[in-house]
Amino acid sequence: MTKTTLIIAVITALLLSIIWELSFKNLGYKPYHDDIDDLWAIWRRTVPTLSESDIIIVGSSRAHFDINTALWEKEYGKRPVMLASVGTSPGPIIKDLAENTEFKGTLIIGVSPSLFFGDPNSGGWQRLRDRMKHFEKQTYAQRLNQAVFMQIDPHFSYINDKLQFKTLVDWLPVPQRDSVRPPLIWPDMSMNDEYRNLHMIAEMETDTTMQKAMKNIWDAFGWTPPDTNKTDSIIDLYAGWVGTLKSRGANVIFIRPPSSGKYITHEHEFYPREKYWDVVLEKTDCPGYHFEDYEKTDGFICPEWSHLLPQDADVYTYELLELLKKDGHL
Amino acid sequence: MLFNSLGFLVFFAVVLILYYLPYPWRGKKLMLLSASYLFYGLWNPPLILLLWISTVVDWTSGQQLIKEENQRKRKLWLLLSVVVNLGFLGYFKYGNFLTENFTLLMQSFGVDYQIKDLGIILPMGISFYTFQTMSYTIDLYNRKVEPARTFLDFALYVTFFPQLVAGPIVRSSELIPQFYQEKKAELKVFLQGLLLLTIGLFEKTILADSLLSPAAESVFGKTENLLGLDAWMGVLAFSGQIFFDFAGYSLCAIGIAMTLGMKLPYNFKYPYGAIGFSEFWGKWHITLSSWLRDYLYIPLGGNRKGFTRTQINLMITMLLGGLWHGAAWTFVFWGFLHGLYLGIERVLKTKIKKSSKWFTQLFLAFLTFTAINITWVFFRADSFGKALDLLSSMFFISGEKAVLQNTQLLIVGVLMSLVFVSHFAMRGRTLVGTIEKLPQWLLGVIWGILLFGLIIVQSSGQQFIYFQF
Repeated sequence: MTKTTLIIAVITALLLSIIWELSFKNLGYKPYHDDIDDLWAIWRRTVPTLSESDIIIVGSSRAHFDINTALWEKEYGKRPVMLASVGTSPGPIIKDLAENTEFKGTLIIGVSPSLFFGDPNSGGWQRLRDRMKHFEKQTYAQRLNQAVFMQIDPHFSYINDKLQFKTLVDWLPVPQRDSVRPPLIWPDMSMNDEYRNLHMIAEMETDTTMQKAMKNIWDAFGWTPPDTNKTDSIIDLYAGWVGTLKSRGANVIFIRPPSSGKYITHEHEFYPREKYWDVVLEKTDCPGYHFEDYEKTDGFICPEWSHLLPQDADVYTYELLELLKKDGHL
Repeated sequence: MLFNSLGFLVFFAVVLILYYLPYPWRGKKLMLLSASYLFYGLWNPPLILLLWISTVVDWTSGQQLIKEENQRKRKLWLLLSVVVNLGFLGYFKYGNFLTENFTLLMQSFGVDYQIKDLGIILPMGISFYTFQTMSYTIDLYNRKVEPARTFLDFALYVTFFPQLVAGPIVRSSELIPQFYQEKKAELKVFLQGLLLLTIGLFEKTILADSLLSPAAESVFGKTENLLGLDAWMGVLAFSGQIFFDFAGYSLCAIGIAMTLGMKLPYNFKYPYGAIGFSEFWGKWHITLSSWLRDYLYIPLGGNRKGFTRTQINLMITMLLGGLWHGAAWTFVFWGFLHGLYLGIERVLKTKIKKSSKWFTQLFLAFLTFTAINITWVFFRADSFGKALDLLSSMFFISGEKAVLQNTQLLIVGVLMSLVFVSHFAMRGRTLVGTIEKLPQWLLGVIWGILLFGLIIVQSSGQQFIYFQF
């Protein structure tokens, strides 16, 4: 084995890597910071340093997609800490903030009904618990990895959670068994930065293939009504945690970001506001901002029924800020 | 710190630079020792204390074992070393297991007894470094090895970062003398080391974590009874996953040591091509099986005390070997199965003539491989119930639920067939020997493809399975 062997190896690896990167660029993938557990942990770690004038946003993907924290900072002068997390219920983080921190600032809670009112044993709650567990158990070695990863991640398209090698295996054109649910291939419809400011990519407005792919995934999840026997106890859980936060002076605000298409239809049917949204506000005694209550936040069309286009997210963020300021919450 | 992480790449690059700068050898050893503590401490700093205690106790015992002539006192010094090491292991690894079983025992007698969860953290690599340091004091007691010349050499032997957390379990005579004189890897050895590191990481991140682990997790994570095909494929997937995970780690350790001019023993020699179970244990986790042989099986009497005692000794060794892997009865049963296999094999060997025909050998190797796969069910399942459910699915007694997609069936089927055939074909050969025979350009291209795999894999830094043992 000689230097030549190493040189051949390095050239081969580089050439293949360049081809790989260009292939995914051509497929429309863009370089950005992946929203991985370590990044969430970086922002969760800032909570003990926050003051009464700071804001934390929690919730599911809608709160994450639809609030532009950069715009918020520009308009308000202070950027909120984004702890909302895709595909999760905010229950575990509200509990965490209430019981494990001294946070006394403003907490904005995004409500996406199917996740927010989901069973505490369901995947939506568990996924956030797993993320929080990662934060709690994160080692110095993992922090070092993240520090290095963050230097590389935003420069390469192929470095993307959706393009992990084990995920790409699902792209193989192999006929699948009918009795097993086919793997979900998620379109890359968003971009994220180091502040966890996530937004939908502009192409989603016109790219019907991506829209359809995303809608197919929502359909694959199924449209099932909640277990109404558990609703009261779930709302009571939130009321308890919010009560703890409020008792030490925190300001808690609920928001209901927009949805459209099949989502809004099913949400109206399965989660009527008088039995869910209104009860939450009543039991927690908190202000709430439902997108349907305001002319300027109502009527958005979500390209895949659930999240706003970037320009609409800007409008929503701006209007939400105005409402919060007008009502003296900020 | 994990080898399959970006942080390790930075750490390793800095260590290599510091190692090859011109300054005295003692300084380099101090650097290696500090780097090893950093490597370990970045996971959980307070647990470095255990390493220090283990190092100081075994060094002190060792020094006394050399000086002391009084046999009774020598025994006491050895006892101190063994008690401290096994005490750590017992408390940190088996503490929860013992209290759970004690509680169950009390409850079975109708005593309502509850012990509060001790909340014990299992220190990474404790099973490895305690066994390693114990081998030093036991060998000194038996006057089989020379003592380490300095405390620094001994501390580095205990802590040497490439093999600290998951072996190979190195004997003092294999490693400590390497610290006496300055080591520099020749270019060829350095490159071979880098290649082994690449292969090890490829085995871990691509083969174990990306291609095999999803199928294993799907099958072992299900509570329903599965279709026979799915059950077998899940078990085969785990069989491959644990091999590539652990053999991958060992290759990384060996490769890293080679870049520093050091030599670590091989831990795996194509085990799935083994014909029979004693051959399997000569090829799988070799440094543990030889440790168990030398410090448990032989002191128990080995095969010197007749047929029955030999069988009992084998069984005790394998039961404890199973328990070494994890604090659960499923691991003990895994050891029991291997003990049983070894016992049956000893009987059969006296009655059946060995054939040298390749297809007979291939058949026997396949039989061994199949039997070993059955043992993995107990190793991986989190309960006996789950293991028995899976076995009933494997033998088509029950189950109709399919959980694996065709893609997974295809990957596991192809990959594990290749593993079996290649392990059989590599019997009597070595990886480095095979590599050396390849044309340089071809080796370069293969290495490049492996590197490319590591660049694109985007492993989420999954822990090596053996870190928990």
